[in-house]
Amino acid sequence: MGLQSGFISVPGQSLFKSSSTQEHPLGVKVTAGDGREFRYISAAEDIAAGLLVQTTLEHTNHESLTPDASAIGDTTIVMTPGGTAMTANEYATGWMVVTNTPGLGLMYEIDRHAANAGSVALTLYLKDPIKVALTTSSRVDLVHNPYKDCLIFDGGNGTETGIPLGVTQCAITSGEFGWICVTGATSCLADGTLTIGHGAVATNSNTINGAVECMANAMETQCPVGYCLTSGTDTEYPAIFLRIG
Amino acid sequence: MSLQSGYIGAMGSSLYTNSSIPQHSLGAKCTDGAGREFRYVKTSAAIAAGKLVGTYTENATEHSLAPQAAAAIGATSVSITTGGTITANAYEGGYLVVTNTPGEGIAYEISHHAGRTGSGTLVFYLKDPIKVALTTAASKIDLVPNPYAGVMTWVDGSGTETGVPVGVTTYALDSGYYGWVCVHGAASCLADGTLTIGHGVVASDAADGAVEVAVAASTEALCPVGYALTTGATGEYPAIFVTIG
Repeated sequence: MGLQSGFISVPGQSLFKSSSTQEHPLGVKVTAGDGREFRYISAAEDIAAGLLVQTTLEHTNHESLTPDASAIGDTTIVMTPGGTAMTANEYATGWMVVTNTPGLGLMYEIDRHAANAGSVALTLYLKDPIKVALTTSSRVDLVHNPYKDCLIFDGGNGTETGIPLGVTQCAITSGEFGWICVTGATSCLADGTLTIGHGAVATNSNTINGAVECMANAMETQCPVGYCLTSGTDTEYPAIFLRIG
Repeated sequence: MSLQSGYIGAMGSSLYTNSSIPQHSLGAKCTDGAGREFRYVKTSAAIAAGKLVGTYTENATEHSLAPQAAAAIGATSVSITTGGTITANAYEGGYLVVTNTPGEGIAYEISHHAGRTGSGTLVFYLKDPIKVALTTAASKIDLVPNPYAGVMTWVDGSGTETGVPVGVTTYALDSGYYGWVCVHGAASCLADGTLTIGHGVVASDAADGAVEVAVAASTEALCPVGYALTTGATGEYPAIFVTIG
C-alpha cells in the first residue's frame, strides 16, 4: 500500500509517536476534529516536545548554479554545485528553483540524484519535465523539502538559518518521523513573557532555541507564527495559537 | 458534471497549464500531497510565472450603497442602487457585505445579477437567504468581487495598494484564463531587494509582482506573505515559503 497522502483526517501514525518508519509523504497535512492541523516531518536531530521546528540548513554553495542547456520536455539537468558535498537524494522531493532568466519563476520537484562531493558535475532527475528551456545564462537554486531533516528552531541572534514550520507534539528522535502542529492551539517554549492577544514570533535569541516570543516593536523581521493564546512565563510552555498552516 | 470544489487531492487541471474553460470552482484549494497548497483563480490580465498575484482592483464606487427596497428575512434577492456601470455577473461568487446597521456584519454570497449602464437599480440574487432584514433608510452595502476572480500581477501601489495578495503563480497564466496559484509552501517569487533566510516577507510596495523582506519600523503596513526560504538577490526569483493559505 502506498503512503497516505492528500488531505487526511485519520493518520496512519499517531500524533504522539516518533516512528523509524515513514508512514506518510513529508509535508502531508492532517486535521484533528478540534480544528488543529498537523504536518508530517523527519527530524535530523532529537527534538523534544513543545519546541518550534525549522527547516534544515541552507547550502549557499548549492544556489545560483549554472545548468547545462536543456530543452522543453527534458527530465534530467546537469550542473556543477559549489564546494559543499551533498548526500544521495538530499534534495529528493525538494526543488530546483530557476531564479534567473531564461526559465525564471518556475520550480521543479526533484525526484532523485546521486551523492556529490562538491565541485563536480551533478545530474538531477526531475518529476516534471522542463517547461521553459534553460541555457547557461539561467541560474538555479537547489532547495530542500522544507519538511525533511528538520531541526530545533535557532534564532541565531538575528541570523536565522531556516524558517519556522510548526511545533512538536511529542519528542521526535533524530532520523525518525513525526507530526508537528501548524494550525491551532499547542504548547510551546516561551522566550520571555507571552501576553494573551499579542502576536507570537519565532525567537531570534541565540540562547534559547525552539521558542517563540511575544511580538513587540522592532521584531518585524522575525517570522510570525501565530498568537499568544494565554499569558505565559519565560522558559515555560504556555499555549499559543499557530497560524503557519 | 459540476466543477470540482472543496479540498481537492487530484486536480482536473495541471499546476503547469492554464485553461480558457473553468475546471474547478474559483478559490478551490488543492494539495500536491507533499505540503504545498494551491488555489484556483481566473486572471484579468496575463501573469508571468513566479509573480505575486493580487485581487482585482477595488471599485469604491460600489461601496456604501443603499438598498433600493427593504429586504425581509428569507429574501434571496436584494435590489440596490448601484454607484455606476456594472457588467452582468461581475460579482458572481463575490459578496454582498452589509456594512451598517440593520444587518451589519453579514456577508452574503452573490449567485448572479444582470448588467446595467450607469447608476441605477439592479437586483442581486443571493445563494443564501437574508438573515437580518435590511432597510432603505439605514442599511449600507458593499459589493465585493470574488477574491479569486479577475486576479492580476500584484500592483505595488507605492504604498497605496489596490488589492490584497492571494498567491504566487507557478506558471504563466494568460489573460482571462483559469489556473492555480501557490498559497502555502515553497514557491519561486520575484524578489524586491535582498531576501534573508528566516525573515518574514511582505508584498512589495515598490515592485509589481514581488515580495520584499520585512524591515523593522518600515514595512508593518504591508501584507505578510510568508517567509524567505533561501537567501535571494533582488530581481531574481528565489524560493519563499508562502503562508497565505
